[in-house]
Amino acid sequence: MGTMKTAEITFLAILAAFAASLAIGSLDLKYADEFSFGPGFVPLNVGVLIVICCALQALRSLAKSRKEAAEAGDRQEHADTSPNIAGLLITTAIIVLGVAAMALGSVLAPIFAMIFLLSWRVAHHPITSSLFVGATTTAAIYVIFAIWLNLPVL
Amino acid sequence: MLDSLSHLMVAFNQVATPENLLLIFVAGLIGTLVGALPGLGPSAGIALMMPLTFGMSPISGLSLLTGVYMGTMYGGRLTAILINTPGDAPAIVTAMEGYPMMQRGKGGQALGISAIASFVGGIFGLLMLIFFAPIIAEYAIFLGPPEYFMLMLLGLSMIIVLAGSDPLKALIATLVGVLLSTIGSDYVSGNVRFAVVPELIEGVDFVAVIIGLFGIGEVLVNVEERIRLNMGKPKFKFSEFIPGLAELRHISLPTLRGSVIGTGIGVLPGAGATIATFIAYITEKKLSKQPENFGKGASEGLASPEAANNAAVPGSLIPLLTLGIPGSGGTAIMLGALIMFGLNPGPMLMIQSADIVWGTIAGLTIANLFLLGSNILLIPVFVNALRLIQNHLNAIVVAFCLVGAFSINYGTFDVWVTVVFGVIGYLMKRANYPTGPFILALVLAPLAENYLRQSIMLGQGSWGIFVQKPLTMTFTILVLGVVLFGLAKAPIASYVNKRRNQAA
Repeated sequence: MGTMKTAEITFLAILAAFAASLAIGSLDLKYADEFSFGPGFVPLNVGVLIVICCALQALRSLAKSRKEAAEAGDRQEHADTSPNIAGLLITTAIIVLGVAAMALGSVLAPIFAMIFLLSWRVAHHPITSSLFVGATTTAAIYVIFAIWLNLPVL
Repeated sequence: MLDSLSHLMVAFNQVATPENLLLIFVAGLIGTLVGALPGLGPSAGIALMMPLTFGMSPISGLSLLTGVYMGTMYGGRLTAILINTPGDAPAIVTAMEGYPMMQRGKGGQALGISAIASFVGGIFGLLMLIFFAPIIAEYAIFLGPPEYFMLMLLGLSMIIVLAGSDPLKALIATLVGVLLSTIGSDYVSGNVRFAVVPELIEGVDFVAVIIGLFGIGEVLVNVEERIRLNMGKPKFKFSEFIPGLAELRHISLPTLRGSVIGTGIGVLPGAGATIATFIAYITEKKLSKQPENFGKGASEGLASPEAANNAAVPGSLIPLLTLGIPGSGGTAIMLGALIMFGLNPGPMLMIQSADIVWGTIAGLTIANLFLLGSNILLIPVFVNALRLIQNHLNAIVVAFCLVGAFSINYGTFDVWVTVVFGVIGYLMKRANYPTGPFILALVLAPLAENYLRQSIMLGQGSWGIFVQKPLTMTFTILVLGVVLFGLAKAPIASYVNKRRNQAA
């Protein structure tokens, strides 16, 4: 429940910041003219509406979690069902670093590295199995995208 | 009617090339596997396959996507019956009757019955699509911008009210989709909105968004929740998959009822296959002479929802192909695909691009035939493939998502967009926000905004244009009705519950 609340508050904060920035940006755009509305009409109104809805939902979520925390009392989460936060962070880091490495010019090399690392460090498969999966998946991607579809993916 | 059939026959001739047939067959297999994997649903299946269609002709590309879509509907039942783990939401009801049949040693029969019911449902829905879509399209050309805007608003408001239990969360998801769609060129005024980098002049790429949301997002949730399938090693004889004549007679009417319910519900925006399966199940339980058998492996309770599930796919394509209005996340992605192929979704689609629309319908019909065969003959292959893929699923999905995102414009910008929306998708899942309304709004909002502006211009600045004509007024009243229902739903439910508790 804690992860869910954190996720929701983070999500709402991101959305509110995004909506507020676009709403402020839309002030430079024309809102309306004589016969219709301008390009600023939709982003400004929708942006403001999102900020209001996010604030409302955040208050609802906090009130709900407080009520649930009081009711939960002595309930304890089982160790086996606890969220795999470490796995989640490692996966995100591998993806971000892999995509950043694509800037060096190759797509398939970082893809191979990502598959290998995700299989080895997150799914905890043996290193040989991870290398095999990395190589076969990369080869399959090369065959499908580069050879069959003729897309410049190397 | 004869016109529809002649169009379809021509389309079959076009589609039935060896390459296309192989493509549709493989699409069905991939869809079945994706549908069977918990965490990956129809939207994820279509999103993952979208980059593969970049170099294809529209007929081949759309056949691939609809084949995957249909395949996911067949696939969800596999893990639901075998290990009581529904592959997608519509398969929840399948597990309620299918798994008890499996426990009683009738797993093979459950798989056979569900495959046949799925096939009948799919074909029934397709027949409705083939015969009714041209009729609706004929009338749709008389609709103007105000009617279109109101229809889109009706679709969006229905999905907000019907998607999930929390309309505020659905509203937030919808509004974010609308706001995101405003980034890029505004074709009415010529202004460029919020394009902080040149790559955003054409807007945020829809394919990159859906790959992130449904691919990377699902992977992150799967990793966090440690989702794993324990497929075991079920052994079946081929004869077990084919139900006897008595059993077929027993499930014939429930299958037909499920097909009608599925097609009808599939047409409605926001309702979709999951609601159709529950309604079909409840209907069968009410009509059954032995309702006490439900939950213990009643074959009619398995057949009817499975038929409804598959009939909902062609049902949902009726408003998409005739009006250009999708009713679910899956069909919203299909609308994105139509736009990607340079088609103009709307009432003129069936006139201007008749060959492509009928080609897609022909592809879907062939896919349904292939899926019936593969879902009876290839069960052991699916079980082994699932066992193999499941162990390495996350790594494989991430790889295909990122390469797919790179293929959009051969640059890393769209890959970063995919990663960002992967995180957004993860947060939406964790916080229980529906993704369907977001995707629907992202696709529909630019069209809706244009129709709204054109309407206001037609009304010379007056909003009264939305109540001037009887048809526009009807749509406006329907939208208001849906909004009022959405607002009143929670207080009414809470009042009814309170009264019930007091009475108890």
